[in-house]
Amino acid sequence: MNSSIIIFLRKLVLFLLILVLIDIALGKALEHFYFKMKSGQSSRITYAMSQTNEDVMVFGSSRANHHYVTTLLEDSLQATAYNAGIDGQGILFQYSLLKAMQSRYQPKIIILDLNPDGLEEASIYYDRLYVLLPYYKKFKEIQPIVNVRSPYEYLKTMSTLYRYNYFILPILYNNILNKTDKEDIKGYEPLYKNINIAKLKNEQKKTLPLDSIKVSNFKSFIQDANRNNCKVFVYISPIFKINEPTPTIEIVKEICNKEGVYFRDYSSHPLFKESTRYFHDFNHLNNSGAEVYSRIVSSEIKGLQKGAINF
Amino acid sequence: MLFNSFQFLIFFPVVTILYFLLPHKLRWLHLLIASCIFYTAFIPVYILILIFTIIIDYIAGILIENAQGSRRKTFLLISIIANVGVLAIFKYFNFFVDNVNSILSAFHITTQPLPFWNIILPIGLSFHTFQAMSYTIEVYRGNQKAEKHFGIYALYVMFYPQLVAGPIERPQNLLHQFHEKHYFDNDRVVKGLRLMLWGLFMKVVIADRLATYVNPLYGNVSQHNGTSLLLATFFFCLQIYCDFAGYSYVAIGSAKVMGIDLMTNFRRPYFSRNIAEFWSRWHMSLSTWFRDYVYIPLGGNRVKKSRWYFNLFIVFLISGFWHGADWKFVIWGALHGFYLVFALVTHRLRNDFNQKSGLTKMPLLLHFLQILVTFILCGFAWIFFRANSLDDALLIINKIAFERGPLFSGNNPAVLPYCAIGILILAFVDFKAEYFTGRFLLFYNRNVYVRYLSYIFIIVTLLLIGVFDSGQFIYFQF
Repeated sequence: MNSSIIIFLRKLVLFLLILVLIDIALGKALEHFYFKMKSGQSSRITYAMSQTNEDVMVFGSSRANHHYVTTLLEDSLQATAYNAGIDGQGILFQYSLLKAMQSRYQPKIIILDLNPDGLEEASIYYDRLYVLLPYYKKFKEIQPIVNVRSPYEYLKTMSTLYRYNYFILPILYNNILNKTDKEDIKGYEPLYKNINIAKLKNEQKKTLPLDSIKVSNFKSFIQDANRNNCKVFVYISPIFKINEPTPTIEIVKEICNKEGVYFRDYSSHPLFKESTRYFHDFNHLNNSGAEVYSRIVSSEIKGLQKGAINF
Repeated sequence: MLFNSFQFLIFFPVVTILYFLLPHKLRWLHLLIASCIFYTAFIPVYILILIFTIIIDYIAGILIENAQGSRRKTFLLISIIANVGVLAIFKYFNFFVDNVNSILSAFHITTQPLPFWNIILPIGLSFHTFQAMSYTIEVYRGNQKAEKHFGIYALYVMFYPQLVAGPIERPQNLLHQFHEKHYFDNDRVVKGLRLMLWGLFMKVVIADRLATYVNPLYGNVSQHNGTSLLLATFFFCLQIYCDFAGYSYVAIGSAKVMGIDLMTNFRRPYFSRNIAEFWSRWHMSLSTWFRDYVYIPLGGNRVKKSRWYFNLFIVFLISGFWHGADWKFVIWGALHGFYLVFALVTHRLRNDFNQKSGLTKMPLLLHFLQILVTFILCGFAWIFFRANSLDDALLIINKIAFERGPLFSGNNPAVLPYCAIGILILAFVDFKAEYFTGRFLLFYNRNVYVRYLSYIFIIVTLLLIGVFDSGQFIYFQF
């Protein structure tokens, strides 16, 4: 082999070695500060995945997060509760969260709130699973779900830095300032304003076909929870305006019937439908709406549970 | 296969190592097979289109060289018709049908509308078609000998680094390089890898990050205000530059590693002081293609002034149409043609204004203003290029002009800071290269520690804030 190739290879190996060391060292530092965060969405995910021990857990997106008042659930069900709803996340994230949680303990009641279009094709929900990358090595159970992001996700996550891709600013912000402008009551984040109809744009949302991966993850969610004696209640919480039952609602109804799981669709409930009093924006109830809705849900669960679960 | 994909991270070193291990006489075959694998990673069946044009142009080249008199022209025409025909069928057929249907319906001619052809545009069709055409034209002009080796000619069209998005090469520059024996050259390999690293950085850290802000806004114009759309338009100016120049750097770099030099495609275009200069720095391989094969044959500037202006305008109109089968691209091209003609017509007036206003006595300010005006003109034209439709483009312009409001902060609050980090690094690198050539060197610094630190900084930034979902390059659609 000619000498210039040998020199090149020697330099390349040295460079790659330095790079690997930096990746490990910097990655470890980021890991340390990531898991030290006491505010922000990431700290909520960390808590939900590795510290929760509540009896009642709420799963879902931002709609779950703003719609289920944890204290009301606790009072009504006489049990501890935590709202693990995370902005912009879908069933893939929620199933990962359940898997991580079940590796530590079993909640007794799970309220799973789905978006009316939650099981439809939308690649953005795959991209958004990046929020789970910091937990990839800690919770082996979530790896198969996170791997659906791309065919090479397993190889990419070998880089420690990659697992903190996109987190450098939240880590800096939350470690230095360590404050949040959001009110967090056991995971529930209330919204206080009322919807401004003048700002609503009249746009028809296109219905997309169902995503088979999301549907199968939803099924697995229910089956895993049932297998571990968690009682699952599936809800679709109110939305300001919805025209017709979506494919998601139809399939969720079908699966819940088959699996013997309680399902209730409140998306077009007359009490909330187009109510400027109860909505903060098109997709989210405000605190008044959330309180009314949470009371309905908790009394419903209480009624169903009477005598069935000993807290 | 995308340069910013994981497959390429495996493909590139494997192909390069094998290239240097193989004897010279087998290298063309190795590169040709690699290029086929690279291309078929998109939609395999489209390789048949490539094979069709390769066979036609290969035969045409030999026939042109051997023929005499008007027969040479006939063979050239056959080759051009075959190439343009492929483009017309696969790229412009549905555009043509759509316009015919619109005209028929406008005149209330009640016939059955012509059916559309349900087809996906083959990746990089316009690029390899133009490169193939430049071969037969140069053979016809006598500037290039016809290539007798079919495999080498096929490699000229299919060479994977520049197959799907250029640079659009000329046979005089590229063909002979496939016949030459390339030895492993440490300096050259390192230079190539540096270019690739910077190209990837431009794509993954800057372009794809900016896209996360631009796409939601341009995809839903009616929901956003003018302030946000103005920022999105500014971001798009940088996004398309980083996307395309980034691609070109990776292409040029990966070819350089193997000892093959491709032509420069970008030279910091947003430092241009006028539109003519912009086009001498932006997508240079296409600009020179149009100059050599359309503008000069039309008479260039050696004609009457009115004809000269017409030549310029028509070239840019065609260039717009080359980019896409949509009126918005035609308008984008027409705008650039108009800018150029307007600049020529008002040249003296503008000079007088600069003198009378005293701007000529402040060369730095004048320089800055010229760059700013050129950037704004380009940005305005990019609106048509990026908007999803002509209606959207007009709505964006209207909103930018009249509708103020709070800035959309993106689907994630960290998007804007990440965009800013990428833009600052780009501004630093390009500014330094433009005005401080040979100074403050990073990748090229003599000190090995500075060099290594620069590489590591870029790679760490790439891993920490890059977008890793293998976003497609914008110019692939052309």
